[in-house]
Amino acid sequence: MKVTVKYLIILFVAFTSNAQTKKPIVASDLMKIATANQIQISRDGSKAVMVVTRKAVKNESEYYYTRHLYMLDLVGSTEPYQLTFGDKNDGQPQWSPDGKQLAFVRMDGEKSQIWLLPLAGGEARAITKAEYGAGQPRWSPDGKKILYSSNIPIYAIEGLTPWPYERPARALGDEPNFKLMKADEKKKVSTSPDGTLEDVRAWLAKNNSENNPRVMMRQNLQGELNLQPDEDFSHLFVKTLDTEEKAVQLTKGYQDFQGASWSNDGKAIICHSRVYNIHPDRERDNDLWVIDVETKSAREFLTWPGYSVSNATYSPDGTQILFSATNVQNRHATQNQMAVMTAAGGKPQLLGASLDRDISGATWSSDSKTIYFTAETEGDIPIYSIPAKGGTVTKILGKSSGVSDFDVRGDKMVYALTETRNPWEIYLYQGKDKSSRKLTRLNEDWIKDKLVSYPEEFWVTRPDGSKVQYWVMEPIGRKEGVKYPTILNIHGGPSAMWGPGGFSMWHEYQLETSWGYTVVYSNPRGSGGYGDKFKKGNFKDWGAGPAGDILAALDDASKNHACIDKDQLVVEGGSYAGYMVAWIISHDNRFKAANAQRGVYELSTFLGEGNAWNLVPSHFGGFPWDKETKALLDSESPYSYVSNINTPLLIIHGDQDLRTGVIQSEMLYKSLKILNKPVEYIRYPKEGHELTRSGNPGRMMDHLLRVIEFFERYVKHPEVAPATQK
Amino acid sequence: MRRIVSSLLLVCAGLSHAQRVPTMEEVISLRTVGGVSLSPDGKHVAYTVQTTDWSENRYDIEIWLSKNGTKPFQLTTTSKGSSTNPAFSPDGQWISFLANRGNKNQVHVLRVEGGEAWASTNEEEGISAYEWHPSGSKFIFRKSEKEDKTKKEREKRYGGFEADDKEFTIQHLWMVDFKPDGLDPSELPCYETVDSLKVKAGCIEWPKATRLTEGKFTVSGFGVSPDGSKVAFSRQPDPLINSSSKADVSVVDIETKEITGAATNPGSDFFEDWSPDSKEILFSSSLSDTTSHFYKNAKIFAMNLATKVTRQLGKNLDEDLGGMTWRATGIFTSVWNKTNRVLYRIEPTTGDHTVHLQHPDQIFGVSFSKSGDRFAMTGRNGDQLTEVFVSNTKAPVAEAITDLSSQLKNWKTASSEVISWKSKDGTTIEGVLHKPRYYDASKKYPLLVVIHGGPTGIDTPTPVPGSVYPILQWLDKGSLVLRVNYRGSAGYGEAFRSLNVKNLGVGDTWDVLSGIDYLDSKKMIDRSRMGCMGWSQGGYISAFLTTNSTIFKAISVGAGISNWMTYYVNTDIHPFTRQYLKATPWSDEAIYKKTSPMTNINKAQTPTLIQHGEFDRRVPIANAYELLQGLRDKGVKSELIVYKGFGHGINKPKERLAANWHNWQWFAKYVWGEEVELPVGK
Repeated sequence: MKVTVKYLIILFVAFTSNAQTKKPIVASDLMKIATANQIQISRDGSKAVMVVTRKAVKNESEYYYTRHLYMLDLVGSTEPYQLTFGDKNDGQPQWSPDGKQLAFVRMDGEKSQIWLLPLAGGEARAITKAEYGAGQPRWSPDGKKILYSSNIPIYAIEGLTPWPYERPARALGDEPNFKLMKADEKKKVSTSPDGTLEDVRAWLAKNNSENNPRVMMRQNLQGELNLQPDEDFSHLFVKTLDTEEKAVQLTKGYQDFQGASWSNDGKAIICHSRVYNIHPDRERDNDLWVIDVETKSAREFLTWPGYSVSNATYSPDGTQILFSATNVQNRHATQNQMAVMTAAGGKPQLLGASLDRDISGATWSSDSKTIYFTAETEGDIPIYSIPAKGGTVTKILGKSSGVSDFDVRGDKMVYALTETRNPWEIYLYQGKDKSSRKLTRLNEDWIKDKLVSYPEEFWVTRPDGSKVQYWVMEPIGRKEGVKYPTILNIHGGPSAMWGPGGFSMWHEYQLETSWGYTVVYSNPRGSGGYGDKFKKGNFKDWGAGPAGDILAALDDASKNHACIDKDQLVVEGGSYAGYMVAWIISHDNRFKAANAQRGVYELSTFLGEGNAWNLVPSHFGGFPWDKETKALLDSESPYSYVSNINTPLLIIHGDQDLRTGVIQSEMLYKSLKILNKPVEYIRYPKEGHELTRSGNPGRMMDHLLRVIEFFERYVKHPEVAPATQK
Repeated sequence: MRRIVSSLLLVCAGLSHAQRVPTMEEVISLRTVGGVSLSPDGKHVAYTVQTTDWSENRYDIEIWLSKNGTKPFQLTTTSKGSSTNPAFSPDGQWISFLANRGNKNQVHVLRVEGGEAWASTNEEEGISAYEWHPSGSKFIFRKSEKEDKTKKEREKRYGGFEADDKEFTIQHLWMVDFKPDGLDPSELPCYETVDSLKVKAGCIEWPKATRLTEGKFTVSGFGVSPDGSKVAFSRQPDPLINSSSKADVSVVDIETKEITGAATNPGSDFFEDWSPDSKEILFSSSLSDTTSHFYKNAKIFAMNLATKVTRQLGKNLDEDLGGMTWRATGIFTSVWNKTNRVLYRIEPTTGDHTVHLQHPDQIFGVSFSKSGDRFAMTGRNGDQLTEVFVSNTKAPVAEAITDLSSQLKNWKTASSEVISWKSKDGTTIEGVLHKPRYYDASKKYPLLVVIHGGPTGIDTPTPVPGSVYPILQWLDKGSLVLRVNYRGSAGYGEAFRSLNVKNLGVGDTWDVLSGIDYLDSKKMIDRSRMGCMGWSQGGYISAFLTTNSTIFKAISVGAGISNWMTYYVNTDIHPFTRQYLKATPWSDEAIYKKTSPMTNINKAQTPTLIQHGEFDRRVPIANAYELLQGLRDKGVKSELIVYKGFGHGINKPKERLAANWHNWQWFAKYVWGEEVELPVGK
């Protein structure tokens, strides 16, 4: 009898807490989502440091991010604690070999510098005063030096370029180098708009040095947010600690030295580089180089015909080198691979190619015998391992989840995991019992009181035999027999992959289901996560093929899900998916409303206006001045079908998006206006292509709600949506 | 053999590092130790170090930490400000301090185990003092009341005016939770609804402070009882400087906020410390004396809070008492004993005192562990800079954990000798004599007399005497420097401190001149090359010597009093003059005449440099202009340098450097007959 009573009470409690206290996810929950990455485990495996990113607001409307270092206890049960504070941005932590200090990069003002945080106590202090900023700190094995990199602008580099100078009929150094001069030095140079040609050239050069105007002579003129008239070159420096000595510049010239790491004896540094016999914008590949720290001499270490190689690291025992490799034969949708070779040199060996996936985060095990990595696969991002000498790939963990970052030390693995029930927490995995334990409560505290919609996974087989994976998320509070407005959400890339392991859409999906929508999303041909063949499935076919997959997934979902109201469908997507939205609504009239974000609508123009212009030759096999390619680009451009669009359309773009420029959306918008079609156009100031992922949090919320508000004009909810209930 | 080798090495070392006189900049740049705080378990020592920031023209104070007796390291870095008042949490896990990092002065905390500091409080008015509650979960702190809004509105309409001594901001005690989870609430926003950015209830917020005291009084010092139930505090009716003579001690109950009066003598009562059992409080008091506390001893009493019975402790300690710590191991305080400063232990039961530690020569701030078994302190010997020491209490031996004195390596520092002589009235006077490095007893040296302020200050042996006087440079130039502990100075008992009452200037002059006669009798000085200088009361005595003697070739008057009548009406401490002269100018003009430098301005002959801070309220600049005009009218060479924006002290490095140079130039010209240009540029 007694037992029964107890049970009843428990049931009652559980019921009330679920029914009464859980709330739908809302737009401002975006502000609560915390993430952590750049995990580094200490050498002794007792602790790990990570960078926690949070969103913040002050004075009601000034939104910003904070990035701080936190310490994790991997042995005891001490709660994670914050190591750095303040309004600065901290990142890239690195343990000193003795575990007593952390080097990290702090953005304090305009430039980032390397800082040291003593772990015995006390506040951090800057150890570099690099004129052009400093990053990527790496401790020398003896802990006495720190290697870092700094990007030196072209005007601050001495000598002549190894590639033919590209300014028509001018020579490098034939005008005063004003950009390098201090104000008083500038005054000493004679310049005049009315003098000799030399005076005039100096006057013009002076104006250029003030970026008024900017002079372009490079191919890749577009950066992410601004034009980038000046090339810069990544160089390596070594700072000896506990001395007043200036940092020593290891590398020089018109060459980039990147992804550097120390050899185990501290005498050499391996990195990737290439001599630019052609302008750096025309050179896309790298070789491995080795630099002798003592003599500063740099030499090619590995040139692998057919591959671009980068990011090399020595195995902990110093005998082998692990690095990334990408095949340069086929620029379209090439997968990232990894390879190993002996430290002495010799033939490199691809590793894990049989997995047929994009490999990232490859990391040595402490005993140098195993390599751990992650790979996007069928909606998940699991951690895998493979013997360093080659062999079977083993999945360590990850099901309906995604690992965004991890580090390995001895038996321990610390990783960042995204799941539907919680967008981001850090876990400790121990190999000996294959157990995982959660170390953080980054999001748990607020999400425990929230209603979450879980995606259900499906596959649909296409007429050509290919299989397309898709997911359906039911609206929060869904009732049997009721149909709900449904959002078809499409990803960009085109080689991105969505799934329950993806973080970037977590909040948007949940918000949309809270607003009473069913959400359907899929990975059409061209997506990552399904192998090389599938990724290449959109070659010369950005429109009809992938659109067929996307709509087939929607049709299949509608068949199997009574909650999808086929008469109340809306569609949205960004970037390549902005293209896809425009493609679909110019070929199909089933949608009640559509939203295209930061899209490309006219492919010939894209070649000129976007920094992602390489997609045009690599995905369509040529250039607009080739007749055949031109015809293909026209037929693949949604803009060619603009007059067919009848669906009410919301177009969104960030003012400073130079990956896919606003000319694209202005063209689409104005044409629809001229055609007198229902269209609204949103432009975000100060934002680039990454607005919805890493933009200003206030504008991110605005973006989310602006899309929903637009859809709300065209759908009718069967009941009041949970997010809007008072 | 081994011995010979080592002594040879020493000779070599001596030769390779020739000693040199430091520049004035180097002297001003010396790193110095300030306050010290010992962790509750006695293992770690936090202390402040002051450095000179020439580019910002300020002194920067930051906290250093020595863990388990190991080499200290810098703990805090507050850019554009200082980190002060270090304290350990009761569990020893945290170090707290005060710093203004862009949001007024707040309590910041950092982990002893590592990590940067974060603000634990967010008080709009800023925090002026704080203490950990013994539970470790709260801070008790003091802050100003909010500024009166009507004042701003009044200013809008009528502009700026102020009724003298009527407009002030009082300070009260508050209590706020300390949340040790290391989350800075300003970095963790949380919102009510989709369309609102209002901070939601129940989110992580700044802890809200609760008020402990309220009313028409202001709180000065305070201390939380060891049992955590009460806060004892010193209070006075208003924060005006003269109201401290009306200070009383009260106790507030943290739970009920009920305030009970404790020490309420007519004269000033100041809270000192709690008894370890939280039953008694220790306080210093002038009892009913409101007419001579500027120079008489404050006394120490313990009061049982239940019975209100008080008993006097340390009755036979003849010095002004304060700065007491009460632990299970006894009551401790450091007190001047002539030019030494000794740590005394007072037995709580009997009130008897014993010398507890007298090495190093001078012991300043002391901080005890919770049990009282260990203590940390700052102090120094006569040839050292102030260092931090640790010791156990039972058999105390001071062990240095810092080596600030290593900064003096290779410097020609001052040697110090305490000498004494009989003054005109037979009183024994002491002084510190600094001789040049290679003093030759067969020669007669120029003499510079440097006179301290107060008058209840004291001069002691020190390797780098200075402040605004380039004493090391003068010694190197071949001069003797005498610093006189004239009647009224601290360290020689209450009777000595009272000897200048109704005798200001006159007696002081006897003491200075008799000191010179003493050196002359030893055939040490060249009477034709003598100078005299001092700041504040020392400036007054120097001004008195300008108008009452002719033996000096040059005098420098720093922030000195020229006329007690001018001074009395203009200063912010009116009672000072009434206490020392026992009259107002309107009740006894003669005593004002007798003691004022201006009285004999017609006799003045000595070239006199006057240095004064522009906004000095203690000794208003009217004194400088009065002396200047008198000297000008008499055709005596004189010059006034006004230090822009300064009060009574020259507390910024650049102007301090300038003040040194101004003295260097003045004495070079009139004692040595050398013209020195102020170096400008690089």
